[in-house]
Amino acid sequence: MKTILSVTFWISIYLILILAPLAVLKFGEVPSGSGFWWDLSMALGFSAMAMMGVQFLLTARFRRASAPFGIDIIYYFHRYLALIAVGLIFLHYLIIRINSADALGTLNPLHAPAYMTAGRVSFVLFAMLIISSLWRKQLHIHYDEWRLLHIVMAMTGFILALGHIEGVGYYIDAPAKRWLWTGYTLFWLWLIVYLRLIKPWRMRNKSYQVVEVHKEHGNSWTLALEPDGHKGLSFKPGQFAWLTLRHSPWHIKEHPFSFSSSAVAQGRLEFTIKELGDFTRTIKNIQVGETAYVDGPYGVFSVDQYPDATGFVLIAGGVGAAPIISMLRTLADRREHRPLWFIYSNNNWQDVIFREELEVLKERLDLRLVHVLNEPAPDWKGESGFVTQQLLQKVLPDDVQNYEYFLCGPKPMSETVQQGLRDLKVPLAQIHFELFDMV
Amino acid sequence: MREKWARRIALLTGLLVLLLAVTFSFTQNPAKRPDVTDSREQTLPANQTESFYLDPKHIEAGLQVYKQQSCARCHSIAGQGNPRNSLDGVGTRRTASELRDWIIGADALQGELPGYASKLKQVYRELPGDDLDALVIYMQSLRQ
Repeated sequence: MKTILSVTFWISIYLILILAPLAVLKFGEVPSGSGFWWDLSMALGFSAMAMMGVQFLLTARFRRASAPFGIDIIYYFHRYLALIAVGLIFLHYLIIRINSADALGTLNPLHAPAYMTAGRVSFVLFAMLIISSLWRKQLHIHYDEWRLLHIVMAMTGFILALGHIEGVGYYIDAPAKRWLWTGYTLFWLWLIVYLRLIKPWRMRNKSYQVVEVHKEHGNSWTLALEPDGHKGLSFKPGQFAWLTLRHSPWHIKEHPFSFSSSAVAQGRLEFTIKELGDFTRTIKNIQVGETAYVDGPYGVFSVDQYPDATGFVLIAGGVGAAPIISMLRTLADRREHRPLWFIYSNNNWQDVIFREELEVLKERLDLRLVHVLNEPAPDWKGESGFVTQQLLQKVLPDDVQNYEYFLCGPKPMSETVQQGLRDLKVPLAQIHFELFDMV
Repeated sequence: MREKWARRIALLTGLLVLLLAVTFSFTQNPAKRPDVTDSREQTLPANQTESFYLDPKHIEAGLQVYKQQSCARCHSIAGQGNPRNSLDGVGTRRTASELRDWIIGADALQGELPGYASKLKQVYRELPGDDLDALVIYMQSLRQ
């Protein structure tokens, strides 16, 4: 019930933000309508514009904004709403095309008025945004380049769309309306300025030093940082931060990683990173003494979000164990009494990160540890295969509804596990998921 | 699972936006009451619009100017173009000199023409004299 209310509340906020410009148009002197289809096209254009503005808000890294939902949900929304917004822009165009094509004028940018060309280019940019994001890997776009491109195209598209709206001059002839509309859109642009200029400026004096780089099992590395001349940050176990190595904070070269260290340890931060992509393959070359910047903490994927829970079930695959191990280390440091389960899936025993430490943690906590190996050696006596519903049923206690479930692993595993937990009647609101590989 | 729900809720939100845009459009365009007339629909007295000859070649030239200048961006004729400012029958409502004033956003129209429109129309003062004349003739040909 609480979830339904929460979802309804946030959707309402979203709709208010999107439809505010249209409501503003109705204030004061309202000119007569221009015909249902024309006005509908304009309304769709304005709505799409507002949706693009809110897209900046969704990914603006506000500490509290993701609170009712996990970061994964926010990013899914960002992705699906982008598709819908671009669809609405296309509808905006299509209605005029069918209804009164002459109003579009020539396509030729040399003869068309600037604001019409601006609208067209804006649409193309938004379409390219979507294509480059959905198919980044297939198009062989490096992650860092993709991020920069994404920000530049989004801002340019947004500003051009603003120029298009100004030029068309639909309903915004009254100065008050014009200022309200302009102010509304400028707010979104200010967000960018804050994130890309002001925030990095503040961060430039709060650097960290790499104090340790050590190899873990499973092709992974742990990077340990300590604050350089300031008291650092505190985080909740399971949270993540944006890490910048070998660049100033202004470069769009940050990468999100979960903290893997105990949240109780003051100052020192650890990240455990697996060699999987463009950037992570370079971690092994980082030297002790190098400078790093950390923007965080972010995320609500933490046991600390549920202080009243009767116990926790943690399920991870591969390097998805990073936030999980942070939670376990923290709980051990706090001398946690509540029952804990950790189901850890890997390809084979050699790949199991933290396997020695997990044995030690079993002594310090009321922890039931279940290793699942996908391709075990013949002498493996433990669970094998994948984390299926049957395995969950075997391993979990009877009172499944009493616990909070934290899940972090590759997509196919997480889908099976979520489905399995649902089939065991675990309420969806008690299943929390951390997303590693969004784009 | 969570992705599935996020997708469903995003789609629902999109549908709601569409629905609210349709509602906006409906409220802006209530069914017209038959007895409503506005001053622009009054035709000129007969002695100012009596049949004078409009050379079809000039009308055609005017139509070309209309197209080149993309007047349909702000105006509509016979349902084609921006319905916000219909020019249907404008030839029976305005004299030639009034039409010229309206095209170029003359200062004399200050009260009647919104500021932003007047600014936009200034550019038509640069039109070659022949083009402007032809355009006026084309406008005059638009009769009720």
